Amino acid sequence: MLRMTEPDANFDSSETDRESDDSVRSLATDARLVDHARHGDTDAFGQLVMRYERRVLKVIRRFMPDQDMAQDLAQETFLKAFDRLDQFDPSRRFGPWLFRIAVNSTYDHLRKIKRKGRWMVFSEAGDDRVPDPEAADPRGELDLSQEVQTVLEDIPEAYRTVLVLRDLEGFSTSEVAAVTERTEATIRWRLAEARRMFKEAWDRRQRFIEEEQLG
Amino acid sequence: MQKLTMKCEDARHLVHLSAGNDTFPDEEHLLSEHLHQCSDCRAYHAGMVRAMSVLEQVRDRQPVERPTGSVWAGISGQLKNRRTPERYEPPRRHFNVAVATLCACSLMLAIVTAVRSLPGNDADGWNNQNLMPAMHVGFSPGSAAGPSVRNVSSSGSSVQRPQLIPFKGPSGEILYIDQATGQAWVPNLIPQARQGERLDF
Repeated sequence: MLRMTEPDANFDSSETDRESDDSVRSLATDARLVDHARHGDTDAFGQLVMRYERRVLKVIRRFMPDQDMAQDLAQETFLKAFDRLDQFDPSRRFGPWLFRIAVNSTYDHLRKIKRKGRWMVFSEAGDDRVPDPEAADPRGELDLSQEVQTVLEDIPEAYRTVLVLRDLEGFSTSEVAAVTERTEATIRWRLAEARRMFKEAWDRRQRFIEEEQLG
Repeated sequence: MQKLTMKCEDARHLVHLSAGNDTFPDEEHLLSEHLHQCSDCRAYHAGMVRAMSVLEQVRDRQPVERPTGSVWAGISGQLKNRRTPERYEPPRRHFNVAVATLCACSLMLAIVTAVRSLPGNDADGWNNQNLMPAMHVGFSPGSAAGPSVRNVSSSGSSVQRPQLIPFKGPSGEILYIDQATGQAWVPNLIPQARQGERLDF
């Protein structure tokens, strides 16, 4: 069973600001940092980036496993956030707003790749990296992650977002509601549907693998 | 057989939520009562828990391999050059003359078509009055000012004024000779005013 996360646990603080407690500035609230950043204080915005960058990267990687691409998208997310700070409503929390930009940017990018792929004669080749013989064989873990990733790709975006944020990233339903700008009732309904879709797709895939193994 | 506390469909909706601890206490109570009674839903619940355990395994597996600060390092230079956040501006809109002209022409065509379709504005009348104004001529062989052909289009401006001289033909019919060209006009060939149309001499 998954643990319920505390409300706001994902948004208000992260491991990074605990690491840098010596800085007085790190104690500043998001709202204050946003206010400074709106007036052109890039250092204040830097504090916000440091607070959220790992969480944003993790969320993006749930949709986009490629690390370099995820890094680029995270940078794009923060640049967009900086450019749109004047659109941010200070009476609301900064975290959900930032994660919304991250998720939307990622989906936009995925759609672009999908569109481009339709018209490409040759697809881009992946990295030909030589495995490190000293490192533990990551294939077992990769297999499961990749399988889950493949199954998730079959789930419609609106449901996939809810499932990823709630069940893979541990956001609470109220946090997911804030990120997606939907009511909690809608999120609960979508969550139930997303889990049903995941279960069906997962069971189907397992049956298919078993049939292949049997011959 | 014991009566089920809720429909299996509703119970399965709660199974999906319960698998991630997203049910309220009263919902959880209802569900557990139903699961106690329904073996199909019990099996479904077990399958759902298995599927959720897969997600739980994957949940803790994706480490972020980038060091903290790597994103900021990538964008700090760009932001410091900007100094202040760029104001978001919606994309500028340019006036497209071609589209505007097309719209105006379409609108005009629509108006013309609408006016033409009004009762009393048949297509022939429109053409005769506007496109061939010279065909609507008044003719007065015996007037003191002499015969003349006038344009009676809406603008009222004269297009041509041939000076016609009446001339009696060999069989007694009246012909009219155009002074300028010497062309003979037979009255029958000259278009007559239609019903209700005013002749302007």
